[in-house]
Amino acid sequence: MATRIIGFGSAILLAITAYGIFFVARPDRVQGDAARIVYFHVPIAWVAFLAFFVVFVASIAYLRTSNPRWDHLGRASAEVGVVFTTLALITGAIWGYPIWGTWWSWDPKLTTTLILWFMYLAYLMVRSYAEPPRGPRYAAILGIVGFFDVPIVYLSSYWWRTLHPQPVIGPLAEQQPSASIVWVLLISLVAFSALYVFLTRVRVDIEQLTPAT
Amino acid sequence: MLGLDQNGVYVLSALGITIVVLAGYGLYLRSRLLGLRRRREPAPTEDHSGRNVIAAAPIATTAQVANSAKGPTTP
Repeated sequence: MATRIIGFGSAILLAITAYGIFFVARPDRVQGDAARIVYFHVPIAWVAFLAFFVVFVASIAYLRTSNPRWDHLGRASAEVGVVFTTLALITGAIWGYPIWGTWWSWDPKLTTTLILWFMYLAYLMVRSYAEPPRGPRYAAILGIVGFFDVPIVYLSSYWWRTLHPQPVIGPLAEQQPSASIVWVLLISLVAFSALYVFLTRVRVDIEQLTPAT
Repeated sequence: MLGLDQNGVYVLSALGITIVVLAGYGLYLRSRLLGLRRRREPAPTEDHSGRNVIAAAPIATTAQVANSAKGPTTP
């Protein structure tokens, strides 16, 4: 029941986000309407980081307790995180083409994000093909190691010379954006986070119903 | 209606791909969940024994074909 309520709530919030993107947010002076992609690209990337943080916590808990519930949560969150990272890479490439003139650049931010995507893809492969109890243990180790790439992705635009814009919101933002930008971004952030919770809960239910091999 | 500039096509493409991927993933999870729940439900018992002849499915025979309105067929 709670899962359904979260799913319904996220659908309403996503509809409000779509309205905000097209009817509240103004086009950027330099980027024009391409800047509207940022309103869902940034929250999608944020949700991917959140998903991998959950994998990190669940992996530590699983290695300490060997409780399969943590393994289920880690696997579910990793799968949803990979879906969101894929979308972050795709929407970023679509934004990059009109702004940079290329779909892809071996920029530190993009490269470290691609590495993150490969790491959690490897997590899912290990979790699928390695037999229990070794599979969940190996995957948990990968889930912990992989998370160390998340702060590298976030800080890469500070550490290295990069094409990728600096964060537009948060403590590391160089200049605070206007209130309408902040509101649309925040609603989008909440909407995609709620969607993440909904998808992860459904995925955990699947994991618990799946007979053990 | 939306009044987007020349980059509008990129915005709509990115949003369209996002919706398709997330909706597709949601439907995939839903179908897996429903499949697992269906498998967990106890299967209905099928008693085709001699004591329960009403439950047995009717069996088509060649005689029924021969007695049809068209009559018997020849190869």
